[in-house]
Amino acid sequence: MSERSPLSAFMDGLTGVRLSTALGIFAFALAELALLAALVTPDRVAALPAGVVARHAGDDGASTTVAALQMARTAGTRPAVVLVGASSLREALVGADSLRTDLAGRLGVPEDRLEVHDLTTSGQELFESLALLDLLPTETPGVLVIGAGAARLMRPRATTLDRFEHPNLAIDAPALDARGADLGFTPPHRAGVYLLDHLQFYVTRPQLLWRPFTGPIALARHRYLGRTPWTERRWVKGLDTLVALLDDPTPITEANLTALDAALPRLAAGGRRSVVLLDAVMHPRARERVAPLVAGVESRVRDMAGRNGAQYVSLDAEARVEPGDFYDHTHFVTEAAMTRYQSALADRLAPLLRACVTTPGTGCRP
Amino acid sequence: MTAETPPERRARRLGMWLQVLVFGQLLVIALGGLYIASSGARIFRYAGF
Repeated sequence: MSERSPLSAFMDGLTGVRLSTALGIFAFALAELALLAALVTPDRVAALPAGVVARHAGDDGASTTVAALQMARTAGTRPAVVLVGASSLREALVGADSLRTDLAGRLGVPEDRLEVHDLTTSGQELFESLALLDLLPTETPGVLVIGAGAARLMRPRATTLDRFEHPNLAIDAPALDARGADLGFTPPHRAGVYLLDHLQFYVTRPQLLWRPFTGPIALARHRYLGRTPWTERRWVKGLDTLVALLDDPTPITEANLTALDAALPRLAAGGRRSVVLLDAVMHPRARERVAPLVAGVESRVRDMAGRNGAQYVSLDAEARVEPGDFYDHTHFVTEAAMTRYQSALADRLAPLLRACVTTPGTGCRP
Repeated sequence: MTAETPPERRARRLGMWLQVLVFGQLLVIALGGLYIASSGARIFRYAGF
């Protein structure tokens, strides 16, 4: 009989090199990846709280991905307000629930008569905005608010292509790859498996493995609230950067204008929806500095809106924005400024929603 | 070479299973790390300028 102790045999099994365990290791890894691919589906992610997917409290890529997937599954014939845009819009509003309360109050209806989907993310590119709006079911009436400040349209080519190569959102949108190809980006092979097609998004969010059991983290919508505003030195540097960005239009500007123009008739969904192209809120000092640089693009956006029955609006005057409201050139630093801006937006949107909210089946047009 | 007793066989197999689980999991983690490194996936994003 053997003289080995059970511990010695255990250690032999644990550390020994065998073909069977090598194959087992690869089979285990393969099985785990297959299991994850089967578990991480758009339907399941849409059912999770955003704080389960988020990498950190300010992970708006995760919160907007979850919100967009939820919208695609739950939006029906109830009027919806959908907000897409970059951080200037995200930071200008108190929040989606608060905006819904404001709108319901102005329309004199219960809050459950309309939905508000906030799909804004920091640095959101126009192609991402259009892909997010494509997720709204065609039959859903509503108002689409698209952040259309000149700085969103006049993007450096490298910045836009970086978003194609390293996506901030995990959404399947048919037109997304086509838009990338138009801009010179070679889309990756799509396997038709959600997790694999959005691997960069999920591989950097391993928290998704344990947060369903440990619970979601709390998310913070505002990054600049209460921070110390830019110093004069920072202003000089920041304005130089902004001017450099806007003073050198790239082919992306033209591609964005063309894509937006082409999308507007489709987004109006045969008269069921209104589209509001919303200029970015801006510190008066920055507005004055960049005005000559963005006049051409603003004029084209205004013409485009006119041709397509959309509105092109700036709410800076209606929201009575003043220098003390800002952290930098475009982000609010106080909740009072957000409340004023959101109130001005609600004043603009309420007339567009009145018909479809009070008379179901009617388009959301003034 | 002497014959393995049933307790020794159970202990050895337990060790082999543990090796498969531990190294299998490490392989998944390593593949994830390699993918992040090779794709340049953004772990941190710089917002604003």
